[in-house]
Amino acid sequence: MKKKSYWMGVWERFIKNRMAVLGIVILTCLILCAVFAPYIAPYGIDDQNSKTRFIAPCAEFLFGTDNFGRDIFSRVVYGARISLQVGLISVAVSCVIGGVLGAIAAFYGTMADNIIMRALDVLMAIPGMVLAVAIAASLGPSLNNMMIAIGLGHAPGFARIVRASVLSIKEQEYVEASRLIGDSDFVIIMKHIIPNSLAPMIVQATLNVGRSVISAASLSFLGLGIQPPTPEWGAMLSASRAYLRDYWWMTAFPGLAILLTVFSLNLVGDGLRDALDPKLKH
Amino acid sequence: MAKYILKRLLMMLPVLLGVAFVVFTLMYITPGDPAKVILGESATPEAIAAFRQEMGLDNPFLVRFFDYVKGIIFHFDFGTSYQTKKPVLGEILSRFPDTVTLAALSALVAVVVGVTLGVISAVKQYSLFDNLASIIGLLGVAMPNFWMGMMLVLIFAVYLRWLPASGTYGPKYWILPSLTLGFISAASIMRTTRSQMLEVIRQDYIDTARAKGQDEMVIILRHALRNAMIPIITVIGIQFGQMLGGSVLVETVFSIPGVGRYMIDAIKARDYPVVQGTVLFLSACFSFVNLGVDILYTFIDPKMKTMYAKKKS
Repeated sequence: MKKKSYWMGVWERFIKNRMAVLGIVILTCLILCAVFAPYIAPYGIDDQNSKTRFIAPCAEFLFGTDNFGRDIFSRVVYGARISLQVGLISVAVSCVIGGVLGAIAAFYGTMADNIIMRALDVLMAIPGMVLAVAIAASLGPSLNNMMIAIGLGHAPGFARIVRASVLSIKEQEYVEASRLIGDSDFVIIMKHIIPNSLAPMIVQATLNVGRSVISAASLSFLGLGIQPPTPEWGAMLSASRAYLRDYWWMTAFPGLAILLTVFSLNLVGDGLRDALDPKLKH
Repeated sequence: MAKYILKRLLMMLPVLLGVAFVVFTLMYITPGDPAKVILGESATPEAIAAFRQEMGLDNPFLVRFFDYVKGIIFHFDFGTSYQTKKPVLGEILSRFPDTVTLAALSALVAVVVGVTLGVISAVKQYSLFDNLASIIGLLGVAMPNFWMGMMLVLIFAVYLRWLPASGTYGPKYWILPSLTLGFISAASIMRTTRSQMLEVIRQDYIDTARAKGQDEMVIILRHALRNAMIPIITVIGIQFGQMLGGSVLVETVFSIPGVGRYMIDAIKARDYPVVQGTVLFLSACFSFVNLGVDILYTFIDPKMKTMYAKKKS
């Protein structure tokens, strides 16, 4: 009963936050776009047509057409699928790897803690984008490899957050009580540690989906991510570079799509942070 | 203080060794034989074997890694570029000035814009200015820097024709790149500055300063900002690391021949010694910046100085 009221409180605080609601509305629209892409997009993702090259935005082609005569609006709509997928899966990768490492470091004492944290220090000494580029370069350019590269790159941040919260929970009296009545480590982790360290994880994960979307676009822009003709926003921007001087719409719309996606994810993340931890709110 | 700096420098060594190990492993597991890449598909097996021998590519992993580290430590040798056959370090250093210029100018933009807007927003909380700045800040952190760079080129180089779009031929050429790289960091710095200032401004000693008739400007700058500075500097340090990473993209957009772009070109050419060298080099820069940030703390907050002094003994 008590638990339910906590989440109810979170929800009430969340929907009172106008910016957070705006974020969730935009995000819902984007998700609907991604799910129903075949019904929304008037054209296919790779419908090349030499007669419709470089048409400026108009009623027939909302966002104009590109150098192959493809409808940019359709490609941006389908691109939402890829970006949201990359964002979610790479965050899941960071959550699992970072979460497990952080929890082991905090729960199993000095030795494991030292080894894991020093290893993470090393990864954190490499600027994030440089690390993602190096991993992507090593694995080769593809959708899956890109998600692994981004997920690994962001994992140390998760590990630190989980470690900090597990360290503080571990010292709580209810954990000690649980241990005294003979609960195993597994039960303690599942029953006490995970539920209580969930809040900072959720916030970090939401904010990281946005970061991952940007990282994915950046890697594709550099030619280290998704390859054409897949309609990934960063890859579309990379292809548009050569035509920047004459055909602005090829650059403007995929970028706006990224902006809108990350903007809404950040609003939701900020809203969740304030709702989950009212003490932090300024 | 000197002892503290020395200790920190020594602590940096194992971390950088770890970084070297990580990049070396990453390049080692990369599919494809560098010998074939460099000599071309038409190379004879004998030529490839000779090349592998010469470059030490046939040695076991650990032997190659220790040779690499030994070269760095004893001869400052980061390996030889497969493409140009020149030492990697020299090639990196010749490109470093462009990257430093970009990073320094961007940091200047980020700090000046971010701290100024953040302080004004906090002082005039909930005003029109504050709301506008908040929205710009939210959009700023949601924008990929390379896209912002392209849009700036579109507006200021293609349509208005005020500024050049790419290259590094004079001061004018640096304006768009540093705005691009600086703006996104400015957004983060602004958000932190605002929230820190709001916290500090409510403290009692600010009321005291006001009560004794202190000039408002002095109160804001000397009493409030100085005490809000520690978290702000932390964010500036983090942002500098982001900038080193972001320079890879911005250098590509604006055709700046810096270290970041060198790394991307090397990846495409499978010039692994160069990739290793550039990653290691950028990470070392990042570590030095972090050290600089930690030293800066002690100048801003004397309490920290005594803390370090205690730690030393």
